Amino acid sequence: MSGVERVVIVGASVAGLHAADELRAQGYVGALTLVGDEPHLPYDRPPLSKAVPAGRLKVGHLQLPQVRELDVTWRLGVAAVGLDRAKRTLLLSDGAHVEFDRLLIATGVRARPWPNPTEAVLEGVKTLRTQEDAADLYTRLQARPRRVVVIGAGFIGSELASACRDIDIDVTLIERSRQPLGNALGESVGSAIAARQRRCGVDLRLKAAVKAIDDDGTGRVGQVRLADGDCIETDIVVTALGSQRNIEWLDGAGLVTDQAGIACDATMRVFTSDGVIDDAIYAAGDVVRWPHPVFRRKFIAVEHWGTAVAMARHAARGMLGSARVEWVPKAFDELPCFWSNQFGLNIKSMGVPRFADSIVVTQGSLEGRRCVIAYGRDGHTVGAVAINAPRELQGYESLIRRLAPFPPDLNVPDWDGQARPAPVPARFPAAGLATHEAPAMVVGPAPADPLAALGFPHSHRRRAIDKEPG
Amino acid sequence: MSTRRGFEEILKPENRELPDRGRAELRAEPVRREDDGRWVVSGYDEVRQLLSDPRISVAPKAADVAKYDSEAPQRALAMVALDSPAHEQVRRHFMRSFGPPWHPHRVADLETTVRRWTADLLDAAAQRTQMDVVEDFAYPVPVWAICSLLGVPPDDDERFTQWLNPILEAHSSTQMTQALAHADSQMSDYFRELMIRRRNDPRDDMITGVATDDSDSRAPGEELILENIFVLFLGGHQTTVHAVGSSILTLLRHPDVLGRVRHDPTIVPAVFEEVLRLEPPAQLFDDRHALADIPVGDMVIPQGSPVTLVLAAANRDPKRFPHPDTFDIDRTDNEHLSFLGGPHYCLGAPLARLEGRIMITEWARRVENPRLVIDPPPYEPNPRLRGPRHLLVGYDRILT
Repeated sequence: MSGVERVVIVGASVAGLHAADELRAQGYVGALTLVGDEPHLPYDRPPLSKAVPAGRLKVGHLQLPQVRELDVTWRLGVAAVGLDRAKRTLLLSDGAHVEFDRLLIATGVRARPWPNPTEAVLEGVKTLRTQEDAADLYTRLQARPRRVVVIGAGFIGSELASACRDIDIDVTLIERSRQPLGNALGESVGSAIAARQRRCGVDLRLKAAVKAIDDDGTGRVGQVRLADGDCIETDIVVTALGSQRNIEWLDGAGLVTDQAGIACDATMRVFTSDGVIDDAIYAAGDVVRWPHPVFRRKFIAVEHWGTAVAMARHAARGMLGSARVEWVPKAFDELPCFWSNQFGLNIKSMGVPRFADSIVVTQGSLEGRRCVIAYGRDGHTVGAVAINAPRELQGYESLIRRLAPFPPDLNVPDWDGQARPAPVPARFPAAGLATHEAPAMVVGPAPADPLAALGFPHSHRRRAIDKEPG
Repeated sequence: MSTRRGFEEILKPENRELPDRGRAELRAEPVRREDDGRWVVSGYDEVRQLLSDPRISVAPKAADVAKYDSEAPQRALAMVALDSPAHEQVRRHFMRSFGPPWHPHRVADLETTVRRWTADLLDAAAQRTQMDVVEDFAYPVPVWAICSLLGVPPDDDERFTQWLNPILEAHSSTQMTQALAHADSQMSDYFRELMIRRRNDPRDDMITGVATDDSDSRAPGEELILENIFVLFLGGHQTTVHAVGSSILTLLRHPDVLGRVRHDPTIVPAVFEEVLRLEPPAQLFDDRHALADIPVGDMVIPQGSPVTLVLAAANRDPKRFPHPDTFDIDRTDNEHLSFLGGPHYCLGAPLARLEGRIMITEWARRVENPRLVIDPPPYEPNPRLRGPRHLLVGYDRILT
């Protein structure tokens, strides 16, 4: 088969939309179908934990712009339930069969549910992933609850706590590991974030485990009980325990899928379980793991907005290009990059900090208003994080791309003749300890892979979280 | 040495109107060491890296400062010559009076005024059938805009002209002539006095903002503020003028595009960006040096080396832009470096874009049957800047 005349994209969020846009930008004129299980046109998720709950932005204003005529057949409110690779056919929840010449899987992730099903359905116990979740939370916050309890101090949990403080609502933030954002930034940096959160009035509970979420007797949440015996009275509990990849619908499709993502090559084509690359099936966004050329082809999984956009566009070019004889495939080698706004801090990250064993403050200071931190592993720079220094971070791209010696010798004037800070351990929490997850991870290439050999017993960690959250 | 003359050719004033001179040599060596020890960087990826690389300093080297004027009192540095963290403090102080989130509408609110000024200048040209696009059109609007933003009274305009010329003509701060020094101190005195006036009688303008804002205990001192007001003021007199002049020159050389602009003004931003790519008003920055050894491209620039970033060459790197020397307003991927990048990204970029959009749109719409009187026009002799010095254009009439 040479011609590409039917492209189907599963997942109508930021990756799916950008793939559609890139296909049309590349001159693709064939049929284009976008399948999304939410009943909405693609919308922007980052504000859901920030501007929406704080009331600065309505969910009606979140729709992602469509800058060109996409001529898409939308299948919204319909989930993909199966994939028949041999027949090049997608199965939908409404019973429809959709044939394709090229398929892009961009089904993303969902919020990890609270593991106790009885507690999870109490009135007032919420997760945060969709615009309905955020709108509901906004309404509840407008009713001025006594207190909000957020379980899980990763990015979503911390940003939501920040939004609560913005509108002067008391908030308790519970984290099982030693620091907020510890799994994303390491506990050495997390301790500075913790200090900031406390200064902003957050009741931050670290090394705290949730024993139970108690019913107030009417089916509503009444209090959260901690393992140390403390009880926190509250009207709203938001569980922010990270995410799960939406891959179950691919069971039996013969792809390499598990909670570390769908295994792809560096052009975003999927691997089948017998080690073949399927030329017709691509994946993009949070649901993917791929061998990153910069990180010595280790498989990484990234849950970043910008990575989803760039990866989707890369995949779209490949979907069309691979049908041409002269096509030379090119590896997707964007560095993972993301940002977070919380408690007056702009936190921006590049590379894979979670891969690091050591950090060093390279500009500014952790105690001061702004700083940049380089992340190193085995003497190589693998990531950088800027706090209130977004424009400085770009300068670390070439260091990370070259895996430059760590600590890097920058000789910047920040120290003014005084001794430069020395590297310290990054201190990432032990496997399975943190309530939240790292948004960019080194994972293994295949489910059967001995992940521990890579230094990251990822699958064990996930299992531990599934069993014993909070 | 004959193969290594590319950079020298670019610096020669007689080559201003021949931007192709020296380009092939630069392309062959995106990072190269000149015989005098300075490193000239001209590849897109390489320039982009060094614009944000923390190992590149924009501050004068201590040794150079001492050599150039040991008598003069230590002068405060503008933010263009400050490294972080001092740079960040000064820039933040100025942003609090200029941009979002503190003043999200400061630039956008100028739209109506810029439209009026643009219309007034074209109305004035209706009496004639020839204009100097630079003097009669491109120069006044950016100057009025920067005065309005800063809060410089328009009536004081006359006083600047005599001070400004020696300053704008100076090729660099190291060529400190007596006339320049005099003009410089006059300007400083003027702004010092204006700051005092604004402290006593606050207005909704930037000078009031930077003079009175005490929300940050680490706010820059008076001399630092003064020097930076001065640099913003000068910046408003040069780069946008050149960008608009080059845009109109380019349109006159591409009548097909000029025709498209008339029918569809929504393409003007694409025209402006493409002109910025091809004819960056700031061509090169030769004031940087390496704080540490910097691997870039296939080379390592050694610690202490002077570094020149040639934006004009980077914007025409064939590895980054297909058919780089072609004026193509339909490019969708046009991330040129004309506003720099990294910590020193142009503070005034939104203002320049607003002015460029309105001025080019209105000029194209109203000037009927324009033609170049002198082609090529005389260029700015300073190799750091690019734009026509004068641009004589004949026309049939000015439409209303």
